[in-house]
Amino acid sequence: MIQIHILANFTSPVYIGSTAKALLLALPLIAVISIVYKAIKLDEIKPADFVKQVLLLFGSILIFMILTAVVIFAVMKICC
Amino acid sequence: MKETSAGQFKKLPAVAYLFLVGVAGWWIPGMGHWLTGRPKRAALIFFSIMFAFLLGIWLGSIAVIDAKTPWYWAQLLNSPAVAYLAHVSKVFGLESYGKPREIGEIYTGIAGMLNLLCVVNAVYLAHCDTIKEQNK
Repeated sequence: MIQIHILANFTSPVYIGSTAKALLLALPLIAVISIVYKAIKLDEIKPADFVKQVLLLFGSILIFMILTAVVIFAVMKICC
Repeated sequence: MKETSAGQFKKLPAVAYLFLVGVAGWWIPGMGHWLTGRPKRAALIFFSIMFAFLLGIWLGSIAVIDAKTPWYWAQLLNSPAVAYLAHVSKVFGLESYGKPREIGEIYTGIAGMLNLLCVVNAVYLAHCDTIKEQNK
């Protein structure tokens, strides 16, 4: 019964509205990209260092994305 | 997951070992790293890629795995099992549209491309290990 319930979760899409909150769905993906990239890039996996490196990459990607969004928003405001 | 149990595969001929690492890494994310004796990296890769893939198919349903779209080739990099999900999705006539589909495709596609990166890295590490062994 539990298995059917779990499978049912993957057969119909969830509702995602066109709101600013939907942008938060980028965060788990950025986290996964940071973890996988650092897992293959670091010479040695030490928990404290690994977490620090992942957070640095996560922050860098996030800041770059926000800056890109601000620039695109500004260009759209000026040109359109 | 002991390093010693993974180490036995290193006794294979070099080409067979590299091929095994590449194929294993494609079938199960992180398996390539486990075979090269790097269980921590393997676990990180496995859980991260599975999380992204499962979140993608939860958001957009397994209908996001559609063999007719270009995303399918990126999704297929997660594992050959994705082809079975595409088959199931087609047989049951599942549909997904709009934002959930877009986000589901992005998640599952990026998870697949990350797995390709891991497979390439695992094969490279296996190659480096083989050269080290030969130079001993």
